[in-house]
Amino acid sequence: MNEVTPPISPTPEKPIIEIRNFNFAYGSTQALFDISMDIGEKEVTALIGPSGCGKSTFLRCFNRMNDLIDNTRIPSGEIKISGVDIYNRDVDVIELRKHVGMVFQKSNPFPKSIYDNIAYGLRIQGIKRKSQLDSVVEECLRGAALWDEVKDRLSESALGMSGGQQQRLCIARALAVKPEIILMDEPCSALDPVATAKVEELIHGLKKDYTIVIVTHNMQQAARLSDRTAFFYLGKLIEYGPTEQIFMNPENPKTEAYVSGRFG
Amino acid sequence: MSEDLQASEQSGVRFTRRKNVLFGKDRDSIIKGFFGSSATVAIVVLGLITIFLFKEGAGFLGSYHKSLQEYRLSGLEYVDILKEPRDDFSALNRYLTDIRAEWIQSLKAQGLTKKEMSAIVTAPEAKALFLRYLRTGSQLRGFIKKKMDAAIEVRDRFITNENLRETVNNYTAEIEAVSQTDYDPEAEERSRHALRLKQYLRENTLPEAVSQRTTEVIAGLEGEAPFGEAARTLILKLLQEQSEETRRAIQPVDFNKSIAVITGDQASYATILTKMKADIHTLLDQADAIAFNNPALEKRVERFGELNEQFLASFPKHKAKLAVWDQNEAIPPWRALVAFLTGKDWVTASDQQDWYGLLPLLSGSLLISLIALLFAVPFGVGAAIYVNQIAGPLERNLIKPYVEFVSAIPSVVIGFFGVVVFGEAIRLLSQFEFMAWVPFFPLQERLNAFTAGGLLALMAIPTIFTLAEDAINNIPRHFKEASFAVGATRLQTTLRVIVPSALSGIISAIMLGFGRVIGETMVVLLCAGTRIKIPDFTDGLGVFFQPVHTMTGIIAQEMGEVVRGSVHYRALFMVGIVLFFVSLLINFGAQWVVKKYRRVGD
Repeated sequence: MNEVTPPISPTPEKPIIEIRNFNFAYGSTQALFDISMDIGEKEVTALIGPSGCGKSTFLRCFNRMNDLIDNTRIPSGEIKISGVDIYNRDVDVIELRKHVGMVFQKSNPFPKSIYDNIAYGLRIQGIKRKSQLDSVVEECLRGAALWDEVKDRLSESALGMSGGQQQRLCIARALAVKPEIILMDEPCSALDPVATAKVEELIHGLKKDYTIVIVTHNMQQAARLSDRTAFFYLGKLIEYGPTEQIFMNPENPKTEAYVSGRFG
Repeated sequence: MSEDLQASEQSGVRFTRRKNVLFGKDRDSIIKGFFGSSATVAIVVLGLITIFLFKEGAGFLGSYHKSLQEYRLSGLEYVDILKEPRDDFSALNRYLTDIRAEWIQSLKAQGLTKKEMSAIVTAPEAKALFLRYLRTGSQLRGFIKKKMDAAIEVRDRFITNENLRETVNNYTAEIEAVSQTDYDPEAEERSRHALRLKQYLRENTLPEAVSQRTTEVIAGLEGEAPFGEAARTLILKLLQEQSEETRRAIQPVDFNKSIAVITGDQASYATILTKMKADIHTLLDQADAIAFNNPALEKRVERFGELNEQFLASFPKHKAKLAVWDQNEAIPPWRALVAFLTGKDWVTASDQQDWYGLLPLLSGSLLISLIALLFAVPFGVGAAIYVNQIAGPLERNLIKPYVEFVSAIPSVVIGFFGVVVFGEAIRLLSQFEFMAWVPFFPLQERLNAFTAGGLLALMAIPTIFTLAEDAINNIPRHFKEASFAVGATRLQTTLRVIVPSALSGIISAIMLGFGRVIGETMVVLLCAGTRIKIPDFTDGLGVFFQPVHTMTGIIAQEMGEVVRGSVHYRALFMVGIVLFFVSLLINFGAQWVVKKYRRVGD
């Protein structure tokens, strides 16, 4: 990179997600403890940490995906997205999820055609016009760098695609409802290096239009992709800061131990 | 080496030989053998059932073909053609009776007294129509009755002869056996001989010497004495005598000669028909004089006249049919199968001709299954979707075991419930005023296809529910999550992602529910009304409320009282074979659906 990037300030200047003293529990087991952080608009924020540290749980709090699991509760704290407390009673979860898209660890296209997969998000909103669907499908597939590969077989089953293609299709499907924020839960963990590179490239490209929060196990990936990195351990946020700082000069010895590969 | 062994013993690591537990087998191979043999036994039993079913059913085609041939040779078929106008005439009579009843009703509605009514109804012109109409057919009925009796007599004599011939053959075989010099009867045969001789002694007055000798032989046969020459001679003589007597009883039947009695009298038959035509015309002309003062009734009477004209116009066609009938026309062997598969009547133990037609039973079975599935599919699949997708854990833990518990109720209990409660409730409900808008209410029959179908639905719901719930449960969770993540509601997710993905499983659940329903016996036997007749599909939805009989029901009902080896017995096995194929087809269909539409979940 030729251009000189200005050093990133320790806290995001334009936070889109604000988390304050957030606690989360599965039944009587508390999973997240007193987390406070800000996530910047149109930045890539990586959540890292060893297995079971609560980073995925945390990610799924942003679009209230945890609502699907019985017996979950939030003892205290709040999450604000664009200034709105998303756990407020008045918040429409359906509307929230349209704003906060999600891509899962395992690629999960529906057992439908490629076209129908992307159009799904629009159709459930009641959009039926063919021309509108067509243009959105093309736009999203282009956005997910998939158009050239699949434009001739849009009506074929999405399950016939390769793993990497399926994952990019899932990203395209998430783009179709025009979210502001995209949550990614280890999107590359099931992909081979070539497919991973393509997805990473795609994420890099999406950064200018979307706020991305990505959970990853892959330290290099976090270093490559993200602007900021948060390190979680046993349900607690240990350290949060510009990616460079977390990887080069972490303040907390646990962070240092983790990023240098001594545990995890 | 011994040091090595010692070392290994000391360290506790040692490889021992496998221990034999039983008959030189170790535990693993015994377990393997147990499961292997279980599978083998299951397959062998299934094979035996199939073989037995086909063995017993196979003879049907031959016997039924023979019966159909006798039906034609004896002239019964001819008589059945003769009967056609009589049946039409009876239908016309019923129509006329209906008109009369309606007339009386309408008179009653006008507020006339009994006396006035009877004066109108028994007026000469009314009497002429309503009472004399039936009489116009009496000659025809008498003629047909005579012919029918003749045909039945011929057919029965023929069958008796066949039986007698078989008896003679048995005698011949026995004589053959007894005349062998090394004949040494078993205890059973000895007592049979003794019995026969005793009877002979009792029924005939014999000279003292013969009687004496016979008594001795009987004593010998009943004791341990060897089978001697005296016994042989006596028994042979007796057998020959009886055989001869049976042979004499056979009065040969010549179908070609006996048919003359039945097909003769063409001239008088023609006269009868002509006279009937004239009589009916006269009657109808007189009927114009009756004043009904009711447009609807007049219309019906007019229609009655038209129907009569149609009936009379069919005579020439009917005569032509009689003319081309040929007693000696051969019946091809496949006719028996066609007659079975497409037969519209199931008539047994009749003095005329027994018919074994599948259609009334098949249509009954299918009708009941249709009704059952009409209820069970929405309820079963709906409950499965609800329990899996919408219900909370508390509801789920309550509903699931309860629905599944229904399948534990014995079918006879459900059938009993159907007879005593459900059927009665439906009939009572149908009699309420506010239910009168349903076209076929009020119901006359408490037991009908609807009662049975409704209860079978109850039995099919657990099957469909459980299997459909499994199918929905097998849909990977991440489909659901993906749908929610793009902002779908619960309902949208269920209808657009979950159900389409689980469709193959749901369809196969429905197919297996269908299999359960069509194979169910007890409920249909108790609740379906057991009327062996093809349901009248022209009745629209009313067809659901007709009593029917089913394939399973008829087997259960009649198997107990048939003569082993008879046509009837074999016909029931044929029904069993059809049932077997239907079930097989359903199972294959279910498997095919699962294979064809299986989605790759992961």
